[in-house]
Amino acid sequence: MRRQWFSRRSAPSVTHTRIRALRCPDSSSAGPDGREVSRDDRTSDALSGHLAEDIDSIRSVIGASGDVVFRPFELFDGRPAYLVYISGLSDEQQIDSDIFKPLTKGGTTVHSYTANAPADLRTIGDAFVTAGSTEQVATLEEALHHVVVGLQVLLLVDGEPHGLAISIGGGEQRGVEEPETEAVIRGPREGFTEDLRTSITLLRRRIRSTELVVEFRTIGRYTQTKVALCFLRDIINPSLVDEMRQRLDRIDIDAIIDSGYLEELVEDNAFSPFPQLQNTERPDVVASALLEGRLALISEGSPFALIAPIDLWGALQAAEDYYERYPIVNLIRWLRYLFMGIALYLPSLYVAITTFHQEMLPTKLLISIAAAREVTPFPALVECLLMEVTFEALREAGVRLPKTVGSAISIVGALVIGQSAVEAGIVSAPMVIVVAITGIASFVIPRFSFAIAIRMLRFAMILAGGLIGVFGIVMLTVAVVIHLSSLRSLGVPYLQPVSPFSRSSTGDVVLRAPQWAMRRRPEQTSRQNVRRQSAAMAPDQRVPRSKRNT
Amino acid sequence: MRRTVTALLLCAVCLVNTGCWDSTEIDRLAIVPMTGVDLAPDGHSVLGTLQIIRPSELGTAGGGAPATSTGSPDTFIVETEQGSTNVDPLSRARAKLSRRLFMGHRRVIVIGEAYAREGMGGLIDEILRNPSSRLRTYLVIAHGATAQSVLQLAYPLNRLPSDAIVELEQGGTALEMDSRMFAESLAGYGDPSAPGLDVVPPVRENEAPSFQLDRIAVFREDRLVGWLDGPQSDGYLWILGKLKRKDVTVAIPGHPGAVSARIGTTRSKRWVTWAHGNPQLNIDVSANFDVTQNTTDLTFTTPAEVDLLKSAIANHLRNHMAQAMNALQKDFQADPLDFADAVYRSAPQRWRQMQPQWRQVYKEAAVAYSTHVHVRNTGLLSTLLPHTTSNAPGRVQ
Repeated sequence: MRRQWFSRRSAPSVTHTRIRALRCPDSSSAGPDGREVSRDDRTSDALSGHLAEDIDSIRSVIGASGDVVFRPFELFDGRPAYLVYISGLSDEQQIDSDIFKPLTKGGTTVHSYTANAPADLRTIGDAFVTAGSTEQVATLEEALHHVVVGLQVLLLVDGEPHGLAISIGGGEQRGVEEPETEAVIRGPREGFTEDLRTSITLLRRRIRSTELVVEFRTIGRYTQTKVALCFLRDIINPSLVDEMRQRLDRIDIDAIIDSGYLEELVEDNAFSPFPQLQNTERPDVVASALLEGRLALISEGSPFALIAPIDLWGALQAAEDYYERYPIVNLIRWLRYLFMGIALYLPSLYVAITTFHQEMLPTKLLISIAAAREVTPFPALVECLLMEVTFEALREAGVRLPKTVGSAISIVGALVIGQSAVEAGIVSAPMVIVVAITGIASFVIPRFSFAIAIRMLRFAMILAGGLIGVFGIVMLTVAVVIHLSSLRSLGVPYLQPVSPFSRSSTGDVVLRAPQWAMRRRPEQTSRQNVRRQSAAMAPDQRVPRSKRNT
Repeated sequence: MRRTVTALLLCAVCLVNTGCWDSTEIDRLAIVPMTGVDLAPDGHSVLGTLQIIRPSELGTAGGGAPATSTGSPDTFIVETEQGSTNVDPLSRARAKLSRRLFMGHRRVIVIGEAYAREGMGGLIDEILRNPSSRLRTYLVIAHGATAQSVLQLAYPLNRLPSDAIVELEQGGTALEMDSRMFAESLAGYGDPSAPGLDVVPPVRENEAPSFQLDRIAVFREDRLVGWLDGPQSDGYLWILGKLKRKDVTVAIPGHPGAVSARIGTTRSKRWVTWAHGNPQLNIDVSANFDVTQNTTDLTFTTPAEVDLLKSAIANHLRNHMAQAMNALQKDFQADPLDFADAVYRSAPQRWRQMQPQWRQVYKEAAVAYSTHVHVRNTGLLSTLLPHTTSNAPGRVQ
């Protein structure tokens, strides 16, 4: 009875086994009775070699869909043949030039061994078809797999007990664009796309090393989503890769629509408000993570790659921190720390101090707040929650609405919250200021998923502060710190390198050390290969040898 | 699972049932910036006076300028109650007020002269014991007036009169004395002192009276024994090294006219030496001055001329300090400068023998003054001016 909703879906009934096996070839191969259903057992699946029969059996499975194209034609040696593919996913022009032209009489001019010795499928694939890759398939199941999952073109020729799966590629895709969620002023402007191949290409272009490993696996019984596990073999701690492999292999789900599905399925603590995997659209961010000994998951159909393990401090580091010179980056980073504190604490402190600890305010400020609160009807706690919830709603509306309506909403919101509410005496002006500053502050955090955690905790802080004062805020903070110190991302402590302390990797926590000073990689993730660079670029090494004072 | 949910629910219920014990909305507070203490007419009970802020007069709810102008007496209300202790009047006043009395922002306590002469022990005890009283509350003694009347006064330059008193005390021309410092000097062998407040009658007819801090109340133990004012008050502040913002005007013998000089930095030191078994009180003051006006014929371009000015200023300081010491030793036999502690530190054994007749010893003790005056900026530009007439305005004859 306990944990029922965690348990796997009960096994399907016996009658559905075959069809499920057909449609989802890679799904769990254990039957309901635990018997192994290996591929060799299904000889009844084998293609017969009679074209009409094979086409009929394919049609019986996927023929109901209007977008599946069955295209009969005559091979150059006179045999009837069929092309089966899904329209739109393979480039028609390329099918024309790579398959029809070389294989039909209309396209071929001279074939030395034509009519008398019919070409077998292997010859056709090796000698005639000009597409990139071909593969022979022997069973109906394989054939369907290549058409539906591999999005390839299937060639069936009468008299051949095999089919030929031809990769054509093409189809509609979004181009490489600048990621909107992580814009930079200075730095690369390309972002991952929904196409896995493109995304991996972008990554490969940044790390041209034989040590870059890209492991594929397919997850999702219906979606058959390809997921790439990327890491740098000689930097990463191998146990991290093993851990992630195990977690991926554990997944048994019907669909992976976006990498967000993966994140929830592989994270360490499913109940924590803090994200334990970082999502990013930027290939440069993934590349630098790999170089720090982290690993990345890129999934087909999602422009968001996942990075693990991560730590808390990384949440306040933007990609641009490493592209701009370090002095300003340090100042900006401190600003982020400050505003993270404001985003988390300001409303709760305001409520706690004005209702419990009025002596903490300077007298004049107390009088100003008292004057502003003179006419407001609600207690400070209610007022604060009211405003914060309204602000969250406004933000949500701004995100969801079409862009053209978005500006109207922000104007209405600003007028309603900012001015009318104060003039009508529903809320006090200091509260509006507090909520506004808090709102700005939460946008300063570069990692959106982390900002969400702060936003959620802010409400808990407001309640704690409003019910038991600063004492409550401190208690909740202690609880959050305890939670953070027990939290792990892929087994690596979330607060490292501060706790557990590692001297060599703290250069990137509060400070952003200059590039030449960051000589070592983070130790927790890259213990086997921590040296990043030599000391040759240190400022004293740049002085001409004759002018050095030794 | 069910257990977890139950536990969470129990915790949540606990939170709801707290009723937020200590929480008070800011608009339910009666903020008290200043209180007053007087001796009641019956001669032994306490007359407590409270000033309570009216926030709506001081700020605005919807934006724009506040309702009243600066210096208006509408920004506060005053309540007076009688009681047998210092706390008693407060609790009586509480019954009359719809809002909760909030003493956390009390910055000033005004003490009527009559009450101060009877002894401040009760008040200091209340301040030290009562957790809602701040130790940093400033103390002011009303000269020749009751605290009750002082608390009715508005100050034309500040929205709250308590702010004015605080700023006057911190301004560098008056003595700064908060309850902690007062209690500390009570606890030592010396005596306390406090700034004295004078009610200033209005200059024009329809104006309200105001107040100023220009004298010093001298205590013997916790009882007020007298006042220092004018040069005595200045001299006292010189000895303490607390005179920060003041221009000194001196005449230089043999050169008609006067020179004004502004104080830069001052430092003072007090210690005790012994001569034939008697303590000698030593006072050392060093100060920097900038010349701000000169109506004499001197140009201060040579060291000799500057030395003339230095010695004139030194004489001036010494004169003021001597007046202050004279009043303290001879008139009041009070020791707010803590020479008793200096004696104790210098020779604890002798102090123990001397302690019973300390007041007498103090009265007769010799005082040695040393002054180190530095004049830094004498100003060169005005020496280029043609000689001005001797009766031009601004000349001090």
